[in-house]
Amino acid sequence: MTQHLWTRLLEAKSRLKPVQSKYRVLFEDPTQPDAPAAVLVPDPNWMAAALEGNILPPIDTYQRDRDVPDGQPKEHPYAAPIPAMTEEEAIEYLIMKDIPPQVWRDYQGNRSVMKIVPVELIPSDRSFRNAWKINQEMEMAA
Amino acid sequence: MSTLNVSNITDGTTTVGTSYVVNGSTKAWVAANGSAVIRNSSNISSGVDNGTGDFSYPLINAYSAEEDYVTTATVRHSTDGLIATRNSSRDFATQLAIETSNDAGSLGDYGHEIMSVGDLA
Repeated sequence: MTQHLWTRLLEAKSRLKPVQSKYRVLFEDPTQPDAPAAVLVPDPNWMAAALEGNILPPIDTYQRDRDVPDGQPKEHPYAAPIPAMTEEEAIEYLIMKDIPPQVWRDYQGNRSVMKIVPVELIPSDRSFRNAWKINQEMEMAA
Repeated sequence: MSTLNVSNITDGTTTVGTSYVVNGSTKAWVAANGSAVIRNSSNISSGVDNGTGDFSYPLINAYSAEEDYVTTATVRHSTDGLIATRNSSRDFATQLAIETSNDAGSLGDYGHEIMSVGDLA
């Protein structure tokens, strides 16, 4: 019998060393053109679980659960866990889980609205944080 | 002193793992800096820095419904009087979301801690 996801998470946290990712995901929501670019930072305990395997549920269970109304049974806590991922595969999984589909799946425009970048390309100066946009020409992140 | 070594506890109808007792029943918590970089957490998959003072934290195991959990948050900073409040436009059963601000209400990037309890999906 598959253990509940939350129980697996508690057990994993007690056993695994956290892993700080060397990547960030910069994204802009095309439905909110005036909003600044957002920066997704993988959680170190989540990344440890992804790299370990047999803890996290399949990504498609989260995608199906998006359409399940509040209060109705969800699939992802009870699904059988998936094997270990590489860090790159884990980032792709996280994009599909935590970034709205209109960014990574549905966008048809010409702008680049999402970039996976090394941590070093995220500006450390946050003076104009609400003006950050994805740089369309150079390899600078914002 | 005796030690009970069991995996589950039951009242005859409902069974829960002893991990709920050993590890407490806070279903999600996170401590992060003013860029959503997570120092430590439980049941969080990522931090999202949405802009100045605007942070969200998607859950690995979602809550059952938006009415089924409560959240509290504080700012951790050398200056007292800073405020963390729930961001209702981003806070759902699938993610925690807060805004951090100074005592005049202006959003600012401050380290913060969030704790949440409720019924999981």
